[in-house]
Amino acid sequence: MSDLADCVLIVEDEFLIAEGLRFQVEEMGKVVCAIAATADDAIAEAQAHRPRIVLMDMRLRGEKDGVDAALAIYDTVGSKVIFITGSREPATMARIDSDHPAAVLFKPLSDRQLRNTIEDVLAR
Amino acid sequence: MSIWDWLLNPSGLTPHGFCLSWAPGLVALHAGSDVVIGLAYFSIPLAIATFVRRRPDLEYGWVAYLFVAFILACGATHLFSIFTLWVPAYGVEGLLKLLTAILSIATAGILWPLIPRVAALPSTAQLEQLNLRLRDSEQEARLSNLELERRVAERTGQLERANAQLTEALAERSQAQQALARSEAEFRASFEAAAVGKIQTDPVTGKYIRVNHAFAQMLGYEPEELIGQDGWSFTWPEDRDEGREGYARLLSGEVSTYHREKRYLRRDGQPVWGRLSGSIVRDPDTNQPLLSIGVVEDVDDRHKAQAALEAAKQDLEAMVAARTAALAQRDLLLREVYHRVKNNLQVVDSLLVMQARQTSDPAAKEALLSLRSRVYALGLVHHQLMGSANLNTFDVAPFLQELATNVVEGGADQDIELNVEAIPLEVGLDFAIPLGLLVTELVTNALKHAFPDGPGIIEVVLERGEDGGIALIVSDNGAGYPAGGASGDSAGAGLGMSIIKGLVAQMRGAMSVRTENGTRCEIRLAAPVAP
Repeated sequence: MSDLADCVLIVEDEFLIAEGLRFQVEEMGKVVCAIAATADDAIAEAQAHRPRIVLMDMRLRGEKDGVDAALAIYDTVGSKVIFITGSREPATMARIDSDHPAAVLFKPLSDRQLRNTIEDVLAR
Repeated sequence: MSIWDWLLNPSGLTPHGFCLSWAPGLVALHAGSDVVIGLAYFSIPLAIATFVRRRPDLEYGWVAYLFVAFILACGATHLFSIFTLWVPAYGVEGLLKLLTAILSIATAGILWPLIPRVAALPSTAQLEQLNLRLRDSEQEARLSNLELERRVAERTGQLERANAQLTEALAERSQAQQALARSEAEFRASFEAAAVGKIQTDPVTGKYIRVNHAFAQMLGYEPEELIGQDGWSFTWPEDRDEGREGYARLLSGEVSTYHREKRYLRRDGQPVWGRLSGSIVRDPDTNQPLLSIGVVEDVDDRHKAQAALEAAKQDLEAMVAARTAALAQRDLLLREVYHRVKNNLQVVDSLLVMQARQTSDPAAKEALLSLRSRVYALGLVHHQLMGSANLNTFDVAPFLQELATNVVEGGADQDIELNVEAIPLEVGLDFAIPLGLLVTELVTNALKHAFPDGPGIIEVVLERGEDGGIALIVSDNGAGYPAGGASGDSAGAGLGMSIIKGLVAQMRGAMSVRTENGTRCEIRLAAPVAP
């Protein structure tokens, strides 16, 4: 874990939301290492930057979703993945739980929630 | 010489006394002795005769009469000897003696041969002993008689009892025969007249032995037409195999009764549903099947109704399935809508974040932050809706807790304690959105104005009023400030106040503000109607 970089990877296919998240993370004084819009991009970026934290949107462009990306990242890099989803559907929640989520956040998310959650996850 | 003279006075002879020389002593002696002897000889036979007469039972009593005659004759000779002392009637005396001699000889002659016989007669002692033995044997006889009587009585009792039992058994037998006859009659009546079909079948050949009218009628026949026919030929062909399997189990004793609904073949070739209950009558000794008994209930109507019901049920189930699918589709669409609303709100929030970052004016920054918390309230309502089972309503209490916490933690630098107390209340979108915005504005105001220098407590209470309505109370223990921060010390304050007023009016509520020991804002609302 110690070899991970102290930065945050944002996986979000909507530009504005990704930008908003980037601003929120940077407001907290953290570094955003990359923004990925697809699962494959996310895995590649994660392997390239080895971020400590990944903010993962559940729905992504392409066939794979956030859980697919999260599983690969968890296996190859070991980053802590915080899911961000607009959905509370049981099927989605079950799918997220099948992974090893560090936390789950629901849109729209406040600064407070994001900050508390990231600090919590890093403190573990 | 005449006979008379010979008898009484033989010539020349002298009386006997003359021989005695008439010596008075001798004459007297002879005469006296002869008198005594004669009298004694007369007395003895009298006594004997008397005795014999009194004892007619004596055997050989007639011998005694011989003695009587002979002794009387002796007595007579002695008495006649007295007469001959003086009268020489020696002829008579001789005749007397002759008579005596005859009697004596006869007696003596008879007596000798009689001796062994008389000797054989039991003596008195013998008789007494005999008598004793007789008494003993009489006693024994009496005892044995008693015993015999007892046994007779006992045997009689036994016989009487046996007789009574026999009588009873006969009566019972008669009753049993009557009962049997009655039950046979009853059986025949119930068999023939039963409304349900009844059949008796030979278990070996499977042929009908007896069928009643109801059964024959169910199949469109007369009973006589079915008797002797193979029962299986009246079972619907497709139902035969299964029927035979069940019947084999019944026949083997694997099951004791057999119930089955099957189709029979009517005379017109149509199937008719019957419910068959079958059983086997077996020989009690060999357990061999003697008779198959079946009761067949006509369940054709019921079966057709059931089939129709089944079809209707399937239609209904298909409809329910379609409706369920439609509802699931609706739920899916609704969730998708909520999801997109939330996503769009997230986009708006992101834009606000970006805009705020670009803004250097603190008042404008604060206004943008206020907007973010309002957007958050809208998003939280949709989030709660998505999590509810019916996608229409949710419990307001955790919503208010989450909402107020977000405002306090997101907007306060100082140490503010927040207490939220809300009754459980199911609310829909139309009620929750204005309520959520009201709470956001009121808590934001309290944060901004109540605690200029330090920590404090903010309380959010949602309770049911006495009038059945809902009361929302947001209060603090701060410095006190004009409701809505109307002093205009910040850019957003005026907007906040008009939002509060507008929403209270929209919800047909009434607001009252009190500023003692902090600010207390109470809004009375009508309870939400079930959406």
